[in-house]
Amino acid sequence: MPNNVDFCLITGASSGIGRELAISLSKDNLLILNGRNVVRLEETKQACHNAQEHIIWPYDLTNVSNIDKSLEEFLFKQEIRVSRFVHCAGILDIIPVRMITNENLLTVLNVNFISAAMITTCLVKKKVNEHFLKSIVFVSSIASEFGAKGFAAYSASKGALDSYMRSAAVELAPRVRANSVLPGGVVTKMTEKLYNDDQIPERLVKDYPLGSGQPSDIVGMVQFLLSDKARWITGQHFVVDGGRSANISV
Amino acid sequence: MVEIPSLLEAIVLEFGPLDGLVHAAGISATLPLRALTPDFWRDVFLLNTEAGIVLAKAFQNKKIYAGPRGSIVFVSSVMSLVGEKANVAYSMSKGAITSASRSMALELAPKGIRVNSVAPGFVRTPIYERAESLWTLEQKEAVEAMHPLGIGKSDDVANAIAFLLSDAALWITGTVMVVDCGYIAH
Repeated sequence: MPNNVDFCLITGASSGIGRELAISLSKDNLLILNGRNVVRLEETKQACHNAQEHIIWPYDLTNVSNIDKSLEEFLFKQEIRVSRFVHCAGILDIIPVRMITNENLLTVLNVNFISAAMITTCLVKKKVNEHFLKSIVFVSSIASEFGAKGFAAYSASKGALDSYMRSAAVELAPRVRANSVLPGGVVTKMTEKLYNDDQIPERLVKDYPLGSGQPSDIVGMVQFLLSDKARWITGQHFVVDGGRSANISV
Repeated sequence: MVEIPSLLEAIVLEFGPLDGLVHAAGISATLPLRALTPDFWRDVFLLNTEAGIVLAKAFQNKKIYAGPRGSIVFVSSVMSLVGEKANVAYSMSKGAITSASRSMALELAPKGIRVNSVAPGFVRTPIYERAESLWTLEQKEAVEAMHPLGIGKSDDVANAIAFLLSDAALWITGTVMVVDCGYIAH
């Protein structure tokens, strides 16, 4: 028998929304922190409550073909199982349509979507995780629903994630709930290159009725969806964007 | 409805300013289009939609809401997003309040008031039980088959409303939160 079957796996835990979420959840949960940079994962772990209880699973999600093998081995070696999975890992390269290559598309799809799907497959396998998985939350983006210049590849990956989530939710019910959270522009390591332009603060004030967002603004919704308070919520996406996507003011 | 502002003022006088408003009152109205009359849909609209807007208008007055942060939640329905036979009046009233909440969210953001709606699926309430009593056995089984976790409880919706009212939702406005056990994902 595994030692503990109530771990929450967070991908992309080395920075941004993933790190912020890890710190918040660490108070009452045991965490598996995934990322590719062990040094930054260790920083996240040390910033967590009960730091010594959380476990690091270093793995680069661009390499999708070995995810299931690596995760399976990790769970068996640690003698733990996963009850909740949050996919925060994501990459964003602004690429104009005329410049997109096959390689660009594959990289962004691998990290933002395919890795989440492969981890889900692994965690619903009886021989790997028995039937312990209860809840999945994917961190998507409002770019899944709306367009922006240079965002075609990124939007496609987030759209795929949300569409996958709906069918997975229908198929995995009633045992597993699956939902996604769609943040608006949040200043993180991934997006900082978008926000260093002088005119950006002015634009943010105009576009975001509640002002610009911080990683901590996304945490509340993810925590709610993971909790038993959301026991009847599945197959849905939830926008957390300071009013950005309701806003067509010019 | 004309009394709503003075009723809210009386509440504030006794309990202090408000920082949250939930419009959960509503009526269902199953009636096929061929039988629908303007009076019928106006009645539905009056409670489900207009009362909510009048309440929100009264709420944002500085005599009622003193700031700095407030939250308004409208209870809409999945019928604002998908259709059902004989549900024109109800769908219309719920669609209208959801649409209104988006524009209201933009207008009230500078005052620190967030505005969102919650769209429940089939939840066991008196409205649901009345609808259920009109269904054939096949209809009832079809609805239940779409809810692998069972028909919802009022708590399931109340928890979502409480979340939107709370500071955990500080950056959420102008959104619809669907609480439906995957009903419309099918």
